[in-house]
Amino acid sequence: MPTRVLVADPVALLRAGVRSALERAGGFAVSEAGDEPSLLAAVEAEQPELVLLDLHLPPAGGVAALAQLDPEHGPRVIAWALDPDGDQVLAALSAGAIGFLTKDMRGDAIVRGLHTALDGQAPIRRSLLTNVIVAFQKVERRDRYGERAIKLSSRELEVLGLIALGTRNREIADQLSISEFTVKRHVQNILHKLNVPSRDVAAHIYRSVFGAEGTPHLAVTL
Amino acid sequence: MNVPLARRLRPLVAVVCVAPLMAEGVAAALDGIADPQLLPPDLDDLATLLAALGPDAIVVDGDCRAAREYAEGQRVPLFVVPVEANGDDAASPQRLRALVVGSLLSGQVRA
Repeated sequence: MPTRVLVADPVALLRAGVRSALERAGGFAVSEAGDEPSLLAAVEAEQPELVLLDLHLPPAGGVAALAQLDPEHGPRVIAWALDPDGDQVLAALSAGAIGFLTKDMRGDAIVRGLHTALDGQAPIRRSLLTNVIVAFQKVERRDRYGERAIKLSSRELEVLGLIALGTRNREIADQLSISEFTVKRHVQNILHKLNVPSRDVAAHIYRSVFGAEGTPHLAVTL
Repeated sequence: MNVPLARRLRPLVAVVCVAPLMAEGVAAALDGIADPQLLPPDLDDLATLLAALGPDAIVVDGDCRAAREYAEGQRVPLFVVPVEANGDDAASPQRLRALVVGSLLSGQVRA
């Protein structure tokens, strides 16, 4: 009984190449989808065991498509892209992909990846691992810092945001229409709540949580 | 210098792709109308190899300077079929096949 594989990628020539490689390898029954609606219809109709899913599948991308699939009873999904960064790989894995391959891999390597998935293991291209680890650590750090930042009052966050922009106490006082003494008190509270030794470290935490531009992603939570 | 088409059984198309499976898809699309020669784009001396092969057309799946310069210099058709989607369906096998056939025929007529 051949393994049913669905290749979900908008580039028809690439789908044809995958089909050709899998049929040559033998043991696979290949079907194709060029976008998310076709993917969902094919999953429903053909019940594939494996899906090779393009990270940029139209219209909304592979991660959005993954969210439409049943993680419990749906097919095992291996994402792929040409040159993904660590954040993209991590997003796909977090959304339910069991592996990640790249489009510059040879056909026999893709076939090995599919067999790895069938064996219940996670096929991930080795060259992606370092970037995935860095992306994972970044998320962990942001979450950890976010937990600390959430203890700050809205005024303290405002002060810390200005510190992160390199603003001095006198200028902060002017901008917020408060005394410099009050600014210093806010800074002391910030350092205490964040449990850090200096305003530079506090500014680093702020940038890690809110981004380099200081966009307050956590504003709703706070 | 191109080997004249008449001296080959079928036209030679150089397929210079970052993605080997893309190259395989292109080769399948050209089946029966041309002999595809698959070449990796990171070859040290791709320009020399292209000059030696003298392809009648070139297909690339991304920017490839050697292929572009050869195509411009030898007035050989160059087809770009992006390996990542860019919104249209330019990379369908049928369309590529039609474009390659059309360009080869028009080249023969011009010659």
